[in-house]
Amino acid sequence: MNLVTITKPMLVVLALVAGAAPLAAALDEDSVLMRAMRDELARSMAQLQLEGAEKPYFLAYRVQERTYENAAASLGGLLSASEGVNRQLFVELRVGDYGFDNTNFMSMSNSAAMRPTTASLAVDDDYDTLRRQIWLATDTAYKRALDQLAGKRAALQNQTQVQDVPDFSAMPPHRYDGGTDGQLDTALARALARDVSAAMRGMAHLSRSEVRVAAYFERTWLVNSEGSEFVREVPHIQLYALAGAQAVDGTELEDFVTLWVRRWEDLPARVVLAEQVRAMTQRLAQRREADHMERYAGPVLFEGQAAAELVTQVFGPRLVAIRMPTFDNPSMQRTLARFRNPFLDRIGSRVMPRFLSIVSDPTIDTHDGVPLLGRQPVDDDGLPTQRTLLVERGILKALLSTRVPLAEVPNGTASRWRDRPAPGSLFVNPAGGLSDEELEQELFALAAERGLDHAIIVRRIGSRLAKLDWRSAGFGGDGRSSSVEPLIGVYKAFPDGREELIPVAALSTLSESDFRNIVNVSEATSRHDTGFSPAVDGGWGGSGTRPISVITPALLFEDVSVRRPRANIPTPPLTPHPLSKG
Amino acid sequence: MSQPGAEGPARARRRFRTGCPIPAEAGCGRVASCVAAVLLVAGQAAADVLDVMREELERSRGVLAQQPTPAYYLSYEITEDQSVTVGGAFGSLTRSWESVRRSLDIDLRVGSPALDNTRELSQRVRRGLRSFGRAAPIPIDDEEGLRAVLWDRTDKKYKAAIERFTKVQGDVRVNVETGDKTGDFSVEKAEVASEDTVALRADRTGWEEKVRRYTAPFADSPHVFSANASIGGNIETRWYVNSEGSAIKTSTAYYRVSINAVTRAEDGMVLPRSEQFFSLSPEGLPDDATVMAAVHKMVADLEALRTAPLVEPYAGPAILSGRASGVFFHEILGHRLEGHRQKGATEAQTFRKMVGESVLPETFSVTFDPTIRRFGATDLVGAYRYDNQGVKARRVPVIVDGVLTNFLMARIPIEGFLKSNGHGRKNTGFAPVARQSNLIIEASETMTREELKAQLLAMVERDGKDFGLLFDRIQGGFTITGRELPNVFTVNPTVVYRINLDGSEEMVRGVNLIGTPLTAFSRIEAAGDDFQVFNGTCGAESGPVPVATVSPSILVSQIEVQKATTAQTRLPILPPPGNASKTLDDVRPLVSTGETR
Repeated sequence: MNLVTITKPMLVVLALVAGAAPLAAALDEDSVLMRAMRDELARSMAQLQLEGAEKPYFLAYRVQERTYENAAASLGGLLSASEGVNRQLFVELRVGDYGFDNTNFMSMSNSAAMRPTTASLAVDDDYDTLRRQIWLATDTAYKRALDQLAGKRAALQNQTQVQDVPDFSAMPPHRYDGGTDGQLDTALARALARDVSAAMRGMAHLSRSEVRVAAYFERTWLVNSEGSEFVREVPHIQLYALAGAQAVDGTELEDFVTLWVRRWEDLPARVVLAEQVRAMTQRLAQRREADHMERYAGPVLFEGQAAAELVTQVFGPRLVAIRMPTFDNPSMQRTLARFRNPFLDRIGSRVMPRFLSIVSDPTIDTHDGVPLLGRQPVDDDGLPTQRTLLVERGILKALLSTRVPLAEVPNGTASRWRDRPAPGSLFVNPAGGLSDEELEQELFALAAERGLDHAIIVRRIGSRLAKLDWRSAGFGGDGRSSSVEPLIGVYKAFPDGREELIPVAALSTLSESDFRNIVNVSEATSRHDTGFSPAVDGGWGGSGTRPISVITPALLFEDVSVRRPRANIPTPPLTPHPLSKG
Repeated sequence: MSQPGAEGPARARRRFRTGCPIPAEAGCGRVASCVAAVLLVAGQAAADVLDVMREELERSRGVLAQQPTPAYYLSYEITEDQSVTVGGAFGSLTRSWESVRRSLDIDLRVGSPALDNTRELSQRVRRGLRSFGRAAPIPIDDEEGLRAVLWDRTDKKYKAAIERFTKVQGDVRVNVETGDKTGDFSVEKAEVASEDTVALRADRTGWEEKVRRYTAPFADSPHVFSANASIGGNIETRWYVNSEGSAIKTSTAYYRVSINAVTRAEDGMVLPRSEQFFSLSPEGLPDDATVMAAVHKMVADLEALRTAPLVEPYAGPAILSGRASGVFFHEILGHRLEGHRQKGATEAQTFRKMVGESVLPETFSVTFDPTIRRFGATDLVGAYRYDNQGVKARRVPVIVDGVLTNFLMARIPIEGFLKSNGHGRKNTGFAPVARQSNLIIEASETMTREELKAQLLAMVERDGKDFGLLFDRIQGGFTITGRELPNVFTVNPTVVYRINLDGSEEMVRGVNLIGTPLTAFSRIEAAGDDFQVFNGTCGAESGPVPVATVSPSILVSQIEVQKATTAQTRLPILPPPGNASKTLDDVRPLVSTGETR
């Protein structure tokens, strides 16, 4: 890691563009918030103790400040907008020792004690107020930790832990100062939402459309009792342009354009954005008129965005190691054991073909000159992030984890994001690979072996984040039947070069084990931004969705089942669209 | 089939001027200063929004009336909620934000007023079914966007309505008829009215300073564990059209200052104390001196509450202050006079058969009046001009000289009360039902506070008790009006005094006021001459709505109290940082001599 001396005003530019990872001896000494955190931390570690109970052995304060503006618009008109600023404190307090503490335990009878301790903090840098708020939150966290520890000890009196794994790993202190006076002009969000949504005007084939823009500047401070500290800044702008249409037979179709950048100047020009949005509505228009395909089993080629979504939705969630807590209710323990990540038992085994490797790398700033979303100099434990080789020539080498060790993954990879591990940028690296033409030839050859006159190419897959209705199960109303979102850019491809668009399709079953059966990939890779969520694999926990970049080649699977979504289709509208003639 | 990009009909595009109320170019800073930013709200295009809504309504109605199951009624309500809120704690700013949101609610009915898709299903939970479902976001500053959402949502609403109507028809065939045969919907006169859009006048920087100032005194007390103030303003602008010809636009401002603080007694009991000020204009909010006096009183009350003795369960005479009796009447009487509660088979219908009978002392009269906006120097937030079903607000006397005369009516008829009286209210996303507005208690005979106290002490002595109770401040309460559970009410006081036989008053803690409605009313003996206003938000099946009460102190010959819940958590282990040497005595000089109860 480079040691760089940089003056503060320069830092924001360099940190974002040049990837500087500044290490400073004196970390934000002037910060009132840091001083309040340090002082209350020192006092708590020294004095916070109930008679007859243990003192905390570890304490960390993480404060997240967010200055934000959110806006939503449709057809050039505003739907909603909000802007503001807030600060949230997260207290992580542990009693016991690294080997056995109050964590990694869930009580079905005392859920209050399991809640993470958070508090709303003053956004003014007022030392006395901040100290007082941190003091009260720490007191709550300590009492909860004692309750939790007592509950865990009680539960384990009558259980024998098969695996004796420490609850937490000690770490050397690390300091990172990414603090600047940087800001993000969030006030541009509304205008952007209106302008981009106006590109969908005059289109009678759309039943709904909406553009959502969220712009925020997130500044995070961390202090812990091991001496680690950081100040980290993440500016973020995200845009979702969403449109829905009903096919001639009534099938509901959606498509979207998403953009995630860290600076306004990284956004494409408005005319380019409008063009992307119009192209998306054009795709919807074509899908409305297209014929359904009932069922297909055979080779499928996933290209571009579809390959990246497939990796993120199916394979990605298996690449993180989350420790299953001990429960005070053994039947609950057994129930949740079903959600155990199968990759925990496959480290050292083949999970992909020999010509593929996967790396999570939060240290890389750009790809082809465009900033990557997964970049993060320190993780949420304050540890320097690192490149992690997850799959090497098809063999699973490691899983991403935090300071919470697992029997299968005793050493962490500094991958904490909020309360779970998450990848930085994910690189699916091919060794060799075929040109696009060669890959298609192989696709058709595989189809021919099965006596098929065509094969399937998937170019777009739905995203969990980009939906008109947050609560909807999936675009085709059938998203739950598979862990993969509906296929929204699917083509029947014929050897003579002809392609027939299919309105929407679903993958019957496709799991992480199918990735071993990838028969070939493209030599070229492409980059797509998406949201990683550890909860999507049906797991028991996880919160939030981390924006990450995925760089992957096109993936050719030998044997995949694709079918028409099974859900019933709503009848077409009774009243004609207001824009339609007649 | 039209193609993307196809030109629409030869209708000239109207770009509305309702505009983004908070312009992007305002350029608010990190802790923003948008004094003027929220002033810019054009109010000129209201008629256009209503026109487009009406056109779309007619277009859809034309088609839906021709369907095998025709729609007989359709209404659109668009609500714009624009708000600014700042919050502070212990002398510092904790949050500052503003937002604007526009949403559409549709009431679409198939069948007939006698039996339609909104009929309560017998086997289902009543409250869940009156929901409209989630309100749809809708743009109003562009005609095409407005039309597109109205069209799409109307179609979905119609399909949901015919599906539900089929269930209703099946349910009616299977179940026995209930007593009430008045149908599901009343026919009302069309109303046409339009108000200019009210501008939100939010001095955000000034408010940020105020919340710092208002919360600073709490920082000097080592025993206050939470102290938050918020100042907020919001404008609710509604555009309403229905298939009966109504077209209404209203725009209402609400401003509030809210201060909440919490201390804990040595036994762990959480003791809250709050002050709320509401107004319909920023000028109606109290000045700093008034708020600071209230804050100092809060600090003093919290300190006193910490060490106040606990009261054991008790049944005996009590006085409820005007604020407290307002909540008492709201919970116990008001909710039981809401019309639809007289209809449902699962409702207790406490007063259904008591019209014309005496339910309160003959010196008491009760009126719900959404048409009055002010009592004395205080605005009443239960005021409105039209309800959420397009019915004009009106004064509704419900109890005259102690005799029950009327119910609060939405467009859900009940026997003997077939028309709405302008109380069909809701929040966005909910279906309207009868809800309270401004509850006004009048008394033809009143007593001074001293006379009330003397009468209380006489009752205490008569009953052989050692003391009576005075409920001064109330946090809120709830009541059960169904049949499945006992019809009890609970009111949660925050400041209670014990009035001893010698006339001395002593603050106590740890009790909630409980009872059943008919018994409670039979014990009301007298009213004071000190009318007080309680402004607040009432939550029920049609969502939170603003309500107010104007009520005198009342003397009750017997009230029952039960122990309040208590947390068992110890007090903080470490003393406050930098404040370890502070004692109660350091705090006391802060107590102002301003407001007393």
